[in-house]
Amino acid sequence: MTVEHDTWTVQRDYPHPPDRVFAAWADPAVKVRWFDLSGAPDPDYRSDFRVGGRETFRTPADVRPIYTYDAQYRDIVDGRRIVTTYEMTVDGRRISVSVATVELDSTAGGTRLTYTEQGAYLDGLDSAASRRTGTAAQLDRLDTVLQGQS
Amino acid sequence: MLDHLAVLDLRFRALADAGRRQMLDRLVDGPATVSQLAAPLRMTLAAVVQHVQVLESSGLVRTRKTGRVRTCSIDADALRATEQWLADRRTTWERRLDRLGTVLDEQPRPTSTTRHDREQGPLT
Repeated sequence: MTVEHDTWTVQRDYPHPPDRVFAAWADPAVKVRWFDLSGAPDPDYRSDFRVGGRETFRTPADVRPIYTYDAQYRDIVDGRRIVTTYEMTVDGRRISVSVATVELDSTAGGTRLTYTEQGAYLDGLDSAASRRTGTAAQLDRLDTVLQGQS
Repeated sequence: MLDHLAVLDLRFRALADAGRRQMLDRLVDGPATVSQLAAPLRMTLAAVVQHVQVLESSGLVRTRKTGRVRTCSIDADALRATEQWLADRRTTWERRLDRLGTVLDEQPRPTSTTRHDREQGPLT
C-alpha cells in the first residue's frame, strides 16, 4: 500500500469573458463535450451543479480499462470559483482522491483559468505526473533520453 | 523504410541542437539557401551543411539542388507529426482544458443584454 501526495496546477487563457467560461463548467450539456475525453461521451454523465451536488461519469463499458469519476461540488462562486472533491477508479480499484479548485480571473483578453489539484494517488495505480501538466516533465525526460543516446 | 519510432528518434535528435532549431526558425519564414541559413550563424559553411544533412535525414527539412545552389524548405507535415507526438502525451486535464477552449470558441456569442442580466442579477 502506497500513497503519493501532490499538488499541481494547469493554467489556460481563453478569449472569452469569465461568465462564459464558468457556464461551460456549470452546464452539464456543455461540460460533457470537453470533459469526457473517451471519444464516445458517457450517455449517463450527470452533473448536479450546486454545492453538495454530485457529478459522475465513466468511460465506455466495452473499452478496458474502465475509468470512473465521482465528484461532489463543495464550493461555487458564480463566475469565479468552483471547488470539487473527487475520486477515480480504474476497473473498480480506487486510484485517487483529490481536491480540485478552478479559479477564473478576468484579464484584458478574456479569462485566465487556473486549475489546481491536490491529490492522494493510491497504490501506484495513478500518479500526479500522469495527470498534471506533463509537457515540461516530458521534455525534460526527452532531454535525458537524447543525451543518453548521443 | 524506417519505422515510426526510428523516425521520431531522428526528428527529436535533429531538434536537440540550438543551431538546428535556429535554422528551422528561419525556414518557418520560407525556403532558404544553405548560405542564407549560414549567414546569421557563427559556424562554418561545412558545419551548416552537416546540420542541414541531419535535418534532411530527419524529414523535417527537404532540400533541392538547382545548379550549385541547394535550397532548403521545411516539411510542415513532418513538423506537425512531431508536435502531435508531444500533444498525445499531454495529460488528461491539459487536454480537457484545451477542449474547453475549442467548445467555447464554437459557441455563439451571447447577446450583450443576457450578459448584462447575468452581471446585475442576484445570485441564486
